Order: sequence, then C-alpha cells, then structure tokens
Amino acid sequence: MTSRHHVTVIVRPGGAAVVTLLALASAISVARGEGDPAKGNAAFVRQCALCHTIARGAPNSYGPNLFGIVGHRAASVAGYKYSRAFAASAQWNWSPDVLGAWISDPAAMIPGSTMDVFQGVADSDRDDIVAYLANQR
Amino acid sequence: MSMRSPSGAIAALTVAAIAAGAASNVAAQPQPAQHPAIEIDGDDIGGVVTSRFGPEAGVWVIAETRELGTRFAKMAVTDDRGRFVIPDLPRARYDVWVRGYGLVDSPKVASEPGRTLDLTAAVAPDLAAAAQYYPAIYWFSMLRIPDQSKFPGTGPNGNGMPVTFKTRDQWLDVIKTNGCGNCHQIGNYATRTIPDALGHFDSSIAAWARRLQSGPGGSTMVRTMGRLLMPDGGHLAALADWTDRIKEGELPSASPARPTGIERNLVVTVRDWLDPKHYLHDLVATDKRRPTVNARGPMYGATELSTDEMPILDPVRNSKTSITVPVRDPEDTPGAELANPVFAASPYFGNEQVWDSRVNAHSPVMDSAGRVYLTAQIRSPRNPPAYCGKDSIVRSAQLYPLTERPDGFVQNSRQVTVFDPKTKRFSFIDTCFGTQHLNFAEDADDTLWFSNNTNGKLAVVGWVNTKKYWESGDAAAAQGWTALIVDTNANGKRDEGYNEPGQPADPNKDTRIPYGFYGISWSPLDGSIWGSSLPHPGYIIRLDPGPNPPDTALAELYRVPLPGYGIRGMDVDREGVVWVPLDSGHIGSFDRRKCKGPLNGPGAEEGDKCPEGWTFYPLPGPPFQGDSGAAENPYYLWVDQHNILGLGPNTPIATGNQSDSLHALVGGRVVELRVPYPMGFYAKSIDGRIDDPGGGWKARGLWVTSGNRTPVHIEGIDAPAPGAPGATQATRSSPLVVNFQLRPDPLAH
Repeated sequence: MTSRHHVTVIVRPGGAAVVTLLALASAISVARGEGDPAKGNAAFVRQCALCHTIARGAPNSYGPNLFGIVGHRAASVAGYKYSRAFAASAQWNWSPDVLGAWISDPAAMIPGSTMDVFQGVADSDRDDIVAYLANQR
Repeated sequence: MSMRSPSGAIAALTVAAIAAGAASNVAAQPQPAQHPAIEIDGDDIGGVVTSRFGPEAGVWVIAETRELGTRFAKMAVTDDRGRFVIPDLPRARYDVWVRGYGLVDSPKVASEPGRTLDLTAAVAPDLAAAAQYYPAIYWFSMLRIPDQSKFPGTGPNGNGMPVTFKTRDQWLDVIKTNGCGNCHQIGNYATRTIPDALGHFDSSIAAWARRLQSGPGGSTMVRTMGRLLMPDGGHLAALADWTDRIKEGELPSASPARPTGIERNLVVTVRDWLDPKHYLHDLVATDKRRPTVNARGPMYGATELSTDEMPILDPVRNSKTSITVPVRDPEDTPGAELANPVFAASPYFGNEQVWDSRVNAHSPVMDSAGRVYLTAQIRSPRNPPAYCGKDSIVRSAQLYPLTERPDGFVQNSRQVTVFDPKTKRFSFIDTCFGTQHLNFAEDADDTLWFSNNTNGKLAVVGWVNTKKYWESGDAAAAQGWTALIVDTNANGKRDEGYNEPGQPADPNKDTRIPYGFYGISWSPLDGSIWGSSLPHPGYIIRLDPGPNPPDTALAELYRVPLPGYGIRGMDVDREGVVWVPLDSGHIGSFDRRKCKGPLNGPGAEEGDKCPEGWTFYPLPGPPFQGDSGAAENPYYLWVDQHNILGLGPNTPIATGNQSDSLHALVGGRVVELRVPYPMGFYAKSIDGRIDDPGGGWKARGLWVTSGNRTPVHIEGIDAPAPGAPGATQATRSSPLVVNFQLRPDPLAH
C-alpha cells in the first residue's frame, strides 16, 4: 500500500526556510511506499554510512548519529554541530515522509547544509532506507 | 586490463623472464665471467649485483643507516654490467641491499664506506611478489572507473551519476589531482590494503566508509567522496571492489621498466624531517632566480594545516630541527583544527587532533639575502587592516577593496611571514589579499607575486614590492593587487568599469574573470605573470601588469583543451613557455608565440582564443581500463631554468605523484627520476640548488620534500611488507627530503 504525502519548502525572504507538510502542493514531492529494512540497510551502507553512524550511542561523525531519528526533532542530536543553514531551516520532526523528502534531494531542500554535497538517494532506495532508519530505535 | 595472479611455474618463469630480459636487453655484449673492477673512494660503497641470470642491470642498490641525525638512505642504479657505486656516504654503518623490478629485496648486508660488495639479487618467485615493489600507479590503474556511457550524469533516478559530472574527464579530475590524489598516493601499500587497526566490518564498502572519516582529514575526504556517491555506492563501492580484488590476488596488468640510459646515472639521497604526524606542502633551498644563494645551507619547510613548526634540515650535518613560527595576533588567530576536527579515530594516531596549525604556511621562497618568505596566516580573517577598504591610500584598495571578514578558519586566508635565518627573527607583512603560492620577479624592486587559490569575488593577484618593504617597513605602501580583467572590448587597454562574471555582458566594456591563480610564476620572456587555475578542465592565465598594475593590469585566459585536463601547479621557462602537469596523464606546454589570432575581444573571457598554443606530452604509466592517459596525477611542475640537475636548461620536471618519481621532459620524452626506497614518495614542489658552480655534479641537485598528507603511508624503516608503513611509532615514516643528483655515468664518484 502506498501513502502519498507532499513536502513543501518555503523560503523566507531572509533566506531561512521552513518545511511544512501540504497535500498536493509541493516543490519536492514524495510518493512513499512500504520499504524493506534489509534492503535499506545495504543502501545505507552504500550511500549514508560515509557520513553517519547508526548504532545506539555511536559517536557523531561528519553527520549526526541517526539512531532513533524517526520521530525526533530535527537538528537535535546532542553534541553535533549543525550547519547554520540546517539549524535555521529544519523546523520539523523527522517523520518518514519528511525524511524521505530530505534524503531524496538535500541540496534542494536546504541549500548550504553540510549534506548538500550528496546528490540524494534514488526513489528506488528511498523507502527502504527510511524503513531501515525507522527500525533503528 | 587486470589479470588474476598466475601461479606456480608460470609465474616464476614470467618473473624470471622479466629479470633476465631487463638485464640482457641493455647488455649488448656478452657478459664477462669475472666481476669487472670497481673503482671507489674511501667514502663510497661499490660492487657488482648478479643473480642466477648473470649481472643485474638497472636495479637499485640502497645503503641505509640509522646512525645519523636523520633517516638516511642513499641509492644508485647498476650499469649494464651490474656494477654500482654509491658515492660520498657519511661515515656510518650501513645496511645495503638490492631492489629492482622483477626482484624482491635481497637480504641486507652490513657494510661501511670504502668497501666493495658482491651482492646477489633475489629474483622474485612470482609476479605477486614482484608487484609489491611496483609504484602505486600500477595498482591504482586496476581501479574500475565509470564507463563513458555514465556521462553526462542524470542523477540518482537516471543513470545514477550526479548531474554535476558532465564528462568522465571531470570525474577523473576529482579522483585524481583535484580530489583524492590531492593529498594521497592512491595505490601504495597503505591505501590498497585496509589496516587491521581500523576495526572489523561486515563489508569492504563499510570499511572504506569508515576509513574515509579517519583523522583530521576526515571532513575533506567525506566531502569529496560525498560528491561521488551513487545508488550503487559509486566510487566508494569501486574502492571496495578494488581492494577486494587485490586482496584476492589480482595483480597489475603492466610492469614498470627498469631505469635505462641516463636514468642509471641518478643518485638519490633520502633524509627525513619533522615527525610522522605532520605533513608538509613545500620546501625551499635557494633563490630560484640565483640558485647559488644559501649554498650548502639548510632547507626550510612549510607545514600547511598540520603544525606551527617549521622544519629545518641541514644536509651537511644530516641534522633536523624546527622552529616555531609565530602568528602576529596570537589572541584570536584561528587554528586549522576548527576546520579539520577529528571525528573518527585514525588507525595510526587514534583521536589525537594531530593538525592544529594557526600559521598554515603553504609555500616558501627565498630571496637573494637568504630570507625565507612564507605564505602564512598572521591574524584572524576577521581583522583585515583598514588600508584594505575603499577609503585607503592603497590604490588597489580604492579600485577593488578587500574587506571580507569571514568567521572561523579559512584555508586561503593567509598573509606573509618572513624568517631571517641570520637573525632568527620573524617579520609580518599584512596583506589584504590571501596568499598561497609565491614567486619573485627578476626586477629592481624584487617584486614578490602571490596567488590566492580563490575563485569568485576574491580572485585577485597580489604583489609586494619587497625592496620598498625592507626600506620602509610599510606594508600598505609596499603591496598591491588587481582583479583579473580581460580586454573584451578589444581596445588594447584596461578601462574603468567592467562586466562582472555571470552578468549580461556589455560589449563595450572589459570583463572580470572569476578564476583565481593556484600556481604562479614570472615570465623571463616579457615580465608577465602566469598562473594556473583549477576549475575543470583547467586554465592558465597571463597577467600583463602594465606600467601601473592596479590600473593597467590586463589578464588573458587560456583553457586547457583536450586531450589535456586537470591542472594544479605550473612554471614558466626562460623562453616564456608555460608548462603544466595534467591529470589527463600529460605534461602540457603553452607557447603564446604560437597564437595566430587576436587574443582580446569578445569571447576572450572564455579562454578559447589560442588552442594552437598548446602541446601535450604523454606521461609514463598504465591507464585505467577504457581510458587512454596514464593514471598519473602530477601535482606540480618546476622548470629547471638553470640546468641545475644536468638534463639541460629549461627542462620541465613534473612531480610523479603516483609513480614515486619526478618526470623530467627531455627532447619530448620523459626521463624518470625514481625514488625506489622508501616507496610512497609524493611531492608537491621542487627546488634546485647549485652549491658550487665549479663543483660539478656533486655540488648541485634537486631538493624535494614529500607532500602527501599522511607521511605514515610512506614505507617505514623495517616495513613488515614491501612498501608498508612502519609497524611502530619508531619505524613510521616522517616526511622525506629527497636530493636528486645526476652523474655523468653510473659509476662516477
């Protein structure tokens, strides 16, 4: 079964962006399905482990530790120094939908964040990675 | 094409054939039964190298001692009869052994100067054993690179390749000189294996993901690899596949040639300085304009991000020391650790923050008085002097103010620090422009020109009139800079007001270009300033200062055309020809005198006005499968304008960063100046000095420091495997200082 949600990035005149969930009106849309956590694990190693640890209590790396990310407030991992752009813009909780949108195109969602060197994951990997991350709790 | 490791008799036969062939090909006459006489002095070690195939020609004999004040190894090549002389050794006890292609290291023999030795070379039992001594390029070329069909990239939902990569050349530039190869020799033992100390991982891709986070270089490595990730893992997966295949026994498909001809006349002396934790970028030995300055004197090194210590090597006493370089404003000058934090342990140094430099000295030059000028940070980037603004008395500031005040540590926010070896005192020249490489003009003002390796709004070229500075101490009055303005309206002069890059162009105006200089050199032909610029595919820029540079300087831009691409350093010969190293696997030259059409006018800001000025010379070494150029990423190029080495005046010499060598271009062909021991030699600059103009080959030579950011990756003393890092703190490699000398024949002493 597929759920369809849409994420819109609103850029304020001052440059900071906030993200809201708006149905059917979006700059970045995510058609999210049920993911396979085992496939997500493999995709995570290929595309995410370069920057992120995932085990509980593992130290932050170039990016923050991602254990328990789903449901948590963005930019809230203790001890991690977020980019100015991300800290100013990421005013949300990490729902599966927002997470899927973020990993699909981080540079478009928040230009200037630490993660904007990464082009984003393919649609075919996105739901698996989100499912894998959701299981890490 | 890579191949699997052959086994048993076939392998032994193949290696034996390599060894025998190498010997017989160069020995035109039958070999005498008895050893030919070797003439040596009391400070030489000489002898003959033989194997079961007879005399071994073109192999190295290495003499190493631990009894001096530095690591010390001197090596020479055998002639076509297997004879060798290692000349002019300091008195000490030495281990002597034979290393060569087709061989494994022979057992070490204890000896002393004044002795002759009969050495028995150890023929490699198989290709796998022989290949352990091959330079990194042979292993690096086994890496599988994306097929041409992956370009242009169409993104994660297309062909997987990031859309930022339009061509494979652009991608290769990132895994070579302007990415991974910017700091590392990929393919040496340390990089083609995964160290046990890194930990245990479920897969090699996980191991590589972790390894790239290691140490103070982690941020840079992760950012670079982040650009190369694809749904299938991209280059991260390719590296894992590469090391997996090597671990399973796959071997390089090509073998290096032994030294031939004049290459056998080379004497290489290796010393070290500093320590295994800290790396260097460059060294200086003399004044490039007058290479007899500082004869027999110390070398001075620039340690970039790693430390505030400036290493000093005395090549006469074989001693190494250092001096702490100060910053002018110690209260608030930021350190490199802010931009290079350790977030994952290094397999060598754990979580220690081994890079912490505030000085950030990038490159040194020496003037005719022996003073050492460093491009170095003296103050916070937030505190530019008042004279950098529009209201300044400095003409350059009136025309192009430089008042940015960035937070934190900024890599190319440097000024100038001068060390006077005579007084041991430091002076600070507070420049408004950032500094990076530097070179003197041959003029009455001893003008020192600076690149800043910064693109965009801050792309300027700066200078300091050092004569005025030393007379007045007035840094503001002595300095100047200019934006890079191209004469696109073709009126033959620089005009006030110009088009900005990326904005609609007015054909009646000149145009500013946003390309910063990386390398910089002064042209003896006409006094123009030339530089290299890194944006792909690479550019060179000519700056004609004119009579009043802030107002009159005009730039010309020349893009590197195919088959060349991927630039870093550069130099200019006495005829005004620009020479560049290219990671397309070439040395390139640009001779402006060959240009046929007008070099100004509309479109000049694009850099395509003179493709006919370019010539390309292939570098040696195997290519990646499916590619044509050598898998080399030469970092810098220096022109031996004064025939210091002996290969002729104006010889261009590129650093062979993947090849443990320097590539000297002589008559259109490359003479390989190889450092066989320790493996892992990787350089970012070259200097040359004449200690005694009448002293012949012994009184002149090249001086080069290793510049890779991980000195520990260099073969250690008593390495547990050929080319491997030292197993203990005591045997890990520090940065090297390598001296190259060229004899008239292989036995001269």
